[in-house]
Amino acid sequence: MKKSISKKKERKAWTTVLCTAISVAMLSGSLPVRADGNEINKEGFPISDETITMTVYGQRDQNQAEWKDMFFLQKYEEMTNIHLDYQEVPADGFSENKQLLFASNELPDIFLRASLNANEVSMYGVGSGQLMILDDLIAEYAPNLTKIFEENPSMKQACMSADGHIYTIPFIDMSATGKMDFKQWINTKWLENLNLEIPTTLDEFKEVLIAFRDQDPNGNGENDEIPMGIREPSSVYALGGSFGLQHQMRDTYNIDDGKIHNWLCDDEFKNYLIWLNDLYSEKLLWQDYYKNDRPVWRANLSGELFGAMYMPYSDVFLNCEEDYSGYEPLIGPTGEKFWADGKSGVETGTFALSNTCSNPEAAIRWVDYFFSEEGGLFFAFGEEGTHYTFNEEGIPVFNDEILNAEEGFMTALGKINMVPGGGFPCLRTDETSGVVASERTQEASKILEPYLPNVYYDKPAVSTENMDRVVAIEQDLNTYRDEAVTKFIIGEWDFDMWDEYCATLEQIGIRDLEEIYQEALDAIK
Amino acid sequence: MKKKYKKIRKYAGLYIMLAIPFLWYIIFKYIPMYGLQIAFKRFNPTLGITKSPWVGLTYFKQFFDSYYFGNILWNTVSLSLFTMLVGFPMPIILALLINEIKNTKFQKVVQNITYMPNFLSVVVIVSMLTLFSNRDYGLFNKIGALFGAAPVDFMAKPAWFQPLYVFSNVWQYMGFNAIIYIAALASVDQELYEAASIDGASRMQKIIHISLPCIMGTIIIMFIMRIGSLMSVGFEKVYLMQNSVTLSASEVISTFIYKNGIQKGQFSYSTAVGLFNSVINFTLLMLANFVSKKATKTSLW
Repeated sequence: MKKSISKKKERKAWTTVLCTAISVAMLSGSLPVRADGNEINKEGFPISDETITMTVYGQRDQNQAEWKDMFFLQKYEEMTNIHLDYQEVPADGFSENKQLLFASNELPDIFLRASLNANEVSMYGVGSGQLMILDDLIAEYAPNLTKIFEENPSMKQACMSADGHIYTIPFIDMSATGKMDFKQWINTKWLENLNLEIPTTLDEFKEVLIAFRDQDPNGNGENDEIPMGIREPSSVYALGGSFGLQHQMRDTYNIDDGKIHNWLCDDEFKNYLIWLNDLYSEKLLWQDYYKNDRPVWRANLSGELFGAMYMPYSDVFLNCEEDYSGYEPLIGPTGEKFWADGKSGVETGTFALSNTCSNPEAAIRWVDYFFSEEGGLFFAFGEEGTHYTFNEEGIPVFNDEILNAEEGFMTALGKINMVPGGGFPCLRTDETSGVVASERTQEASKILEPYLPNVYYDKPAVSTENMDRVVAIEQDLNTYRDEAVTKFIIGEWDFDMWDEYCATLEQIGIRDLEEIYQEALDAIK
Repeated sequence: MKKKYKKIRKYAGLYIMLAIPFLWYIIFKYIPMYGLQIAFKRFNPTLGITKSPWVGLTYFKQFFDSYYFGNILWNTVSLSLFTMLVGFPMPIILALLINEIKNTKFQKVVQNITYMPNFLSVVVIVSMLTLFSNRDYGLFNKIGALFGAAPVDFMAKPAWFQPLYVFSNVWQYMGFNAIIYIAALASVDQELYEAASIDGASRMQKIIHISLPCIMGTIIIMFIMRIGSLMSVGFEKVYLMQNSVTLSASEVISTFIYKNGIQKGQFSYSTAVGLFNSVINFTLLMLANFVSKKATKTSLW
């Protein structure tokens, strides 16, 4: 009897020890763990003499081949001696999959192309600590990225979260095409057919559109031309430069002298909407623009049905891009030329490590190579000779079998790398931007470049306490503004409704939001 | 005590059979309920469900304060009520009509044709709706044009969202839901009809005074069960049918939860909203049961 009691006690003691051990192990899981087993080389390739295996989770674009079959990943595995197991998820339903992954806390070593947005970094990085803080790792194991950060402190700023730490490694675009999202295009063939000049003011622009509508510029005898194309309801906010509406933080904000202002209730915006409403009711603006129907939009583009339109790249209308040309921003009520749709060139959230990452040092070394000139070129173009050659001007050009592949250029490229779909952590320069931007696109960007805002701000990271509030307000605000603005433009609402619209925005909390962002922006300075 | 034990042993087979659904309820319905507590907590995956910090009613407040709260609640309730008001009597009427068909072959054909649409996927139904309601070549506008109506883009008009949803639902499920009533009608004693005929009752009188009262019990049970799922409008169909222009009429609690909870990872918030939905649902069920008990003496419990 006595014996069994002492045994019981013993067992109890063991249980306690085990429980403590487990909970200690769980707690320490949030700190970076040294991988003692695998020695890594601090410079050059291979990264490790012994093969290191890690798991990678991310989103696979429809144009990409399976990652294990992708050329640059296979080749890079040979170079680095790091073997990756891929858990790739198709874009459909990816966002749900990602949330459930975090909620179930079964994390991979590396997040690649997982497009972690600021909210998610705040929730899963600052909040729950499931993402690893990368500051020290970058300083020690990522010389290329460190150099970029030193030369461009604003880029480092853009990567920092509200607690001042870096949780994700970005995609950095330093080329001219990357400094803006939308470029404006006009059909010069139609202009020539009708003997018209490229418009410079809003009034001239409207006259041109009317001519496009009435005079059958494509000469097929049918009235199938669409004078002006806008891709979707939310694109409207980026295109109000002529009315003095900036698109700071990639949203409806002006920032002058460090003061944030949301212009959704301003008269300038009202005038802009009145102008768009006028174009819409005259059937100059694409009548179906608000339906978010991408396939129809693409068909219209490649069918050359648009007179003037806005697109970031010409990849969808490569077949007729020679007929389109970029042009300078239109002069509006402000009397100035201004192109609002700027970008900082930093796309955060493309690469991150989980707190359970088995070898963070190796993972950071793995990604850093793509921020060197050589690595950026290798990522974008593949292997010299096999995939591309340099032309006389020293610019890399793809071989013919890729450029004119039967399955389409993007699909062919998707077998080599992750350029189709974007969002891969690497450096893109003017030299390598040719991989996505045709010469035509680069020209269109160069025309607009001088008219971009002098300073461009990304959305500042918001403290965790304010995060809930921001998410709640933005959810309602964006739903309401998209619906209301669309109704104003297509004429479902009269502009008598303007005061009610403004009152509703105030009620939802547009000014609170402004204040929270102002506070966050001041905190960075 | 011993007697009881003996009895249990005697019917062991039955008890084992009972145990299977009983366990199913425990494991899949009751145990997951402990996760409901995250509606009152700031859920943090690293801490897990039990260790996340309590935040009280914060998330409920956030939902009630949301600008769209009234809108979403109204849409959910009105869409459910509308669906039930139109969708509930239809199968009964259909069953009565089919029951009146004397030619058995024709009866079977009608029954088959009406319940076929039940087997179509929701995705197919919504694609059909989108095609039919197209402004330029859609069936609805073609028919409307015959009567001189101006073409309407049905899918882009908030006011048309609910009628489209409800009547396509009726079309799809009417035939299938009628089956249970047809079965109930088949068990009605034929002598009642014969006696009525002798008394000189017309067809309509026979339906009202014999058929309907005989299946009343079935109707009421079906009605109460329908009330229980009043607030759970079909998520897939609403989600597939909505677009940014009709959102003011088409956002319901379930689509709201999906967008906020699953797509944006606000698990605590969406659990709170879901719990709120269930509470309303439960209240309605109690109410319907109470009314039915008082009025007809039939009830679920």
